[in-house]
Amino acid sequence: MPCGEYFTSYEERMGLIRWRIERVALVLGLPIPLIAPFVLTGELVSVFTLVFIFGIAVLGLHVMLSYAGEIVLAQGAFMAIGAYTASRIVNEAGLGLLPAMLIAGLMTASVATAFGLPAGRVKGFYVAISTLALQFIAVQFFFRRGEFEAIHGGTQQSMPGEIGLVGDALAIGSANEEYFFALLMLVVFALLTMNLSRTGIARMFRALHENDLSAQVLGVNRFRNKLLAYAIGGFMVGVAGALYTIYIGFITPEFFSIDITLLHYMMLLLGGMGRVWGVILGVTTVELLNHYILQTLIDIFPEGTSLEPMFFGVIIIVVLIVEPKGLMAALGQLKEYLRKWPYAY
Amino acid sequence: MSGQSVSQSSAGIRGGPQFPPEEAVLGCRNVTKTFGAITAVDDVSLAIDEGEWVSIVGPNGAGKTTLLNVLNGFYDPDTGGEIFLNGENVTSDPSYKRARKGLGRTFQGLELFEEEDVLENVMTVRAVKERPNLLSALLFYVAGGRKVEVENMRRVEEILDYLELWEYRHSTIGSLPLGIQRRVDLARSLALEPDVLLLDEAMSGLTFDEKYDMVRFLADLHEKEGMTMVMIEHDLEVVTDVSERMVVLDQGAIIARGRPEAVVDDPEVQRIYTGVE
Repeated sequence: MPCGEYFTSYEERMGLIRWRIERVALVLGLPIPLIAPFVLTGELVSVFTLVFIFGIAVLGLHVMLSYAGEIVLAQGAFMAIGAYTASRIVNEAGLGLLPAMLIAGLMTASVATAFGLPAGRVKGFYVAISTLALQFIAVQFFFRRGEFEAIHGGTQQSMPGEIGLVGDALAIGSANEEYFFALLMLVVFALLTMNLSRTGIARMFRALHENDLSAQVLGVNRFRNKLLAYAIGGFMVGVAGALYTIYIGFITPEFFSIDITLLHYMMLLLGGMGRVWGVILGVTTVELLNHYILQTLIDIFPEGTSLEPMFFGVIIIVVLIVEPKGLMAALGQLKEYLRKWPYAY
Repeated sequence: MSGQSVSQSSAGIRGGPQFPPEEAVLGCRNVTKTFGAITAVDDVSLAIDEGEWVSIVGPNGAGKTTLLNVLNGFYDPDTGGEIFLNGENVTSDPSYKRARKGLGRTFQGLELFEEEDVLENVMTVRAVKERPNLLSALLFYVAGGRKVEVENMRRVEEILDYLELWEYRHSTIGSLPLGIQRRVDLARSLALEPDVLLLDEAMSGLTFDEKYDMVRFLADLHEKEGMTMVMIEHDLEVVTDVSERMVVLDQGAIIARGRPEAVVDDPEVQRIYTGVE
């Protein structure tokens, strides 16, 4: 009789839910997000909707950074391009949310790919600087009324209270509808990313990340794969930008500053790079901390300002010292400990 | 040129290639590679026949690895040099294209993907062979992505089995001894199913037993699979035991080529190796 869990086929080995503990967690955990909007306060439902939207954006960053090793500092710019594109598609073309998300994603993917072109020749911090340039260019672009208004459609834009998914059909507008739609989108993009991570494309991304010279000698086309990572990541961040406009209902370039880039990096580092669950854990942790800590800090220091960034700065430093691989790695260690308990090894 | 005789040409060990490089499975003509004032490879012409095992030897700094790097596209040759793979002129192809056209290689410095385990290292190169498309990757279950991955894994585990790496397949590279890492490097290049395998000091730093194992695997590949191999190796005992032909480089130029027993008896080769006139 076997004394553990074994895979008897390659298909089983490649499954998303492979271990008994994962099946139990899925059965127990699945209903939670489905019943949450009916038991949580409106404020918390709103926090979780933002978690789902940022989750998609950080998944995009995860593809570019964790897989392909590209330090992309243009999350704010990518989200802005997605948001402004979606706003125009919804307000002017009236095509509905799903086409708006698709076009926003494609537009952002195109810009991300164009700004990823230097990655064909340079790497590391040089790429970071090129994408940082995009961050500043984009914000200035959307701030400019006269010169570029015909392109971006206006510095400040608002969205209708209710938006149809396709044209005017299947409209969503309430907080709960936005919550479930954002949740659905996060699940879709998380599954797509998990699928990607199990295939040769993600392996080639990781190979270039780890040792680009040997990867090329062994047949990996560096230029094509780097651009593909930018396109996939940019698409996801653009879609998140489109959802963000629905969530806040009103956009201005200030929402897409470098702060949002740093926030997404914090989420990714805190959760742990390299795993989709790490992304979701990191985004959820940061947003919940943001919600509760901000309120607590305001209660304790009514006159205090700028305490929240200080607090997050301390958290990042502590996490990087205690568990540089993030919370997901810490949970993995806990899982291993429990699996072996009461033995040490 | 399959089946062409590899016997000593009439020009003897000082002659040029025994047949035109463009007719070889791997060949080069008038390849020179300079780095500033240093000539690392000096007007080298070479023709490797299908199924042949050729060793490139020479003292440190003779230009052996540079020649291999030029052959696989890591370096471009200086103007005028030409590289041929399966009869096709691939001089302008980058290294990844040459790999896809059938040129595999191992590395003297290993260059493995350190963070990954053995299975993932080999699966990565297998992915190159299969060229996955984005849609089938994203829609893993419905667009054939899983089928491709299952087939890749089956093939990779056959390679790991063949090289007796089965028990290490989930070990990360950093945790493995050098002998196993060299085998992983070989497994990785075999995942490409190459026509020609370039081995850059594949036995460097190995113990006697590890070297014996490596020779056993390579000899098996050569005899049973008919793999064409070009090997850089310092151990002359191994070279003379396994190679069908030997090329001696000194200061970037070929000074002798031919059957190992003829080459090692050559006074000029002995002078280079021993430093004694």
